[in-house]
Amino acid sequence: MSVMVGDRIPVWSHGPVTPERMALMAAILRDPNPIHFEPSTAGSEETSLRINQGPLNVGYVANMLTSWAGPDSIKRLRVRFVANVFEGDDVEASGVVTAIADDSDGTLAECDVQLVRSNGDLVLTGTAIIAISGNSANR
Amino acid sequence: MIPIEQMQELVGYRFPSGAYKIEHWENYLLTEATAGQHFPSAYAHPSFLFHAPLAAVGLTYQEIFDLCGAESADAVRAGEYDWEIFRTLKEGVQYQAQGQILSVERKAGKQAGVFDAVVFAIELSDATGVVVRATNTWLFLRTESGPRRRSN
Repeated sequence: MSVMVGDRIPVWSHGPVTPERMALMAAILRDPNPIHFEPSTAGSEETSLRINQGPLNVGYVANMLTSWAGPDSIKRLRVRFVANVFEGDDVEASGVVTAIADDSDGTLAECDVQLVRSNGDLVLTGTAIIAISGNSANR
Repeated sequence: MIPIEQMQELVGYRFPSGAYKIEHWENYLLTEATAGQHFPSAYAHPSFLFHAPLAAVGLTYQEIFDLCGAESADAVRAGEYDWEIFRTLKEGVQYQAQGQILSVERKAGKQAGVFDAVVFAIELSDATGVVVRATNTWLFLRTESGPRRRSN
């Protein structure tokens, strides 16, 4: 794969986010927090919606990265959460290559990554270091 | 509100040592939950960097909430994750875990009010050394500031 600084990682989209997938994740994680599987009867319409787990939101970004560079390509992933994803949302993970370096393991691409909700809200932002196999060393 | 001095006593707290093996079924189901691609390999989905370290040290969410004085389950939210992957986790491998609480800091935000940012680091190792290190920051909200429906 040939990678250059400024390359955009193919966007990974998913939606709508469903209560069934949240419930599945809650069971796997043994996460007892009801916000992930029980609709609330209090508050506004949005606050009554079930809220997606943080590891799922990061998982969408990881899916984008592994779809692009392979299942063993992620060497580091750092994210900061800034907003929630709710049931019914569509989400879109995106990223851009900001630097390329070589080390003993081969070529590494540093990337800025983010996840946004369908209304444009930024959900998380971060950086990733990705091993690039067979890079033609474009800079 | 729990005194910050009491929270800071948690710094250096070492989680119980433990081990964890990612089974194929849970890798398949977790990947399914993320709507991710099922690769024809034994590599675990990256989101196991959240789940496997906690499962390995044997702490339930509730035990962590109790340790950090969470006011309720929905007064906890994710802050930051920093996942270092020296080798990709695989199904069927027994990983040994060790970890500790690195820092506790009390902060205040416009939306969240007062909260404690607790940073945990847990490493998973195999026979040849450290495989991954997960450094996760969880936020424990300390004041009522409207509806608290947050994700962890």
